Amino acid sequence: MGAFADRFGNIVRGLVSLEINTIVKDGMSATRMGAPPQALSEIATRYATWLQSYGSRYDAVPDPLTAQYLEGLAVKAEQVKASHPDAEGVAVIATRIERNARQLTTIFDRLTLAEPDPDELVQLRKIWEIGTETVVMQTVLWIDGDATQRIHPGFADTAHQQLLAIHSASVSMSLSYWKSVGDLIVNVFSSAWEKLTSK
Amino acid sequence: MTSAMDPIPGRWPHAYAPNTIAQLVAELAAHAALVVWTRGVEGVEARTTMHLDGDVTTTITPQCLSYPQRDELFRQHVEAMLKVGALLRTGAARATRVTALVAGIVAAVATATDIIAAHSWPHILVTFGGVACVGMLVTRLVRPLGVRFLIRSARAEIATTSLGRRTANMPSASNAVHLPTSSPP
Repeated sequence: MGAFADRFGNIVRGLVSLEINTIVKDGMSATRMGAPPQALSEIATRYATWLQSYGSRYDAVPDPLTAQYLEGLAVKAEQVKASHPDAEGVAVIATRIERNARQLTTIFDRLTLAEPDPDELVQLRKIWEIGTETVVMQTVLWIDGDATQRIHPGFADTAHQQLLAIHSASVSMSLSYWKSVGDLIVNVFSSAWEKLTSK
Repeated sequence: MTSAMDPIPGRWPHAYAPNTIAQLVAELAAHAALVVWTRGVEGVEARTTMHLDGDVTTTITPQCLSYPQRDELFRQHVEAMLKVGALLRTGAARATRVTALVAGIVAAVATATDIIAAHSWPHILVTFGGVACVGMLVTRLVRPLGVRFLIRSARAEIATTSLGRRTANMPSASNAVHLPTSSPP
């Protein structure tokens, strides 16, 4: 029952807000995310390497990866955050690693099934996409119309106008999807209601 | 039929995005996300992933920001993203028509039940609720089969129509697209 409540909570949270991130990172390829065990290993390797660069001890990623290893990464991320209290950028990514590693630990067993749940795949994919990169532009839209936008100071000048245009197109695409899903849900209920009341 | 990742013809750099609603649905079913990417001189320079819950992540390489043709590259990428947005709207409009039709059928069944049983208006609501519950149960049971079917169709389509052309379009083998070959991602 608890697991169902958690999953239902995740779905509802996913629907009430939209998060649009723009990242600048090196060495991108057209490679898609692999099967969940492979994606989990890649995430663990990136996290372990990042934590090592901030003084944490590097333990090689086991093959196959275990949930205990991910939990260990969460603990290390907490320690890195505590040891760099003044470095805001470090704290942000350490917090992200801690949260994501804990989340992955929770759904680890289900992700390694032959056919994992699509909702959990979405969570895995987001974690895999963002990795340990710095988000340079972020827009969060809430269902009540509130919107929060954050832009890295280094990317807020006129030289990065095109990047802003891409971010803006991402927001439009996300809104199109959200609106489509919303219209669909509203239409299902309104059509049924109209048919019933027109009797 | 064009492939899901065909470049926009006659243009360089190339933007890759689903071209039709069928490809868009197949992408969502097979990968739980929609991906738009644009290739520049040094391989993929911009990639946008739209997740099933509507969240979007765009990744840009630092080289791309200092690239002489970046305006064209960004324009191509934005164009591809807007095209996906338009496809989503068209898909939603079609889905809306289908759901209206299904809702009509369900309501007709409920009304017919009411006439046969000579029950009251609230009884229709109860009947409608019952039909909806059965519908949800059936969806729950059929969904895994449907997803499996879509994944197989998407893979078959990618394997037969796009892989050869996509490989031919790749400037270098190191950036080749790796298609999932094991269990569904």
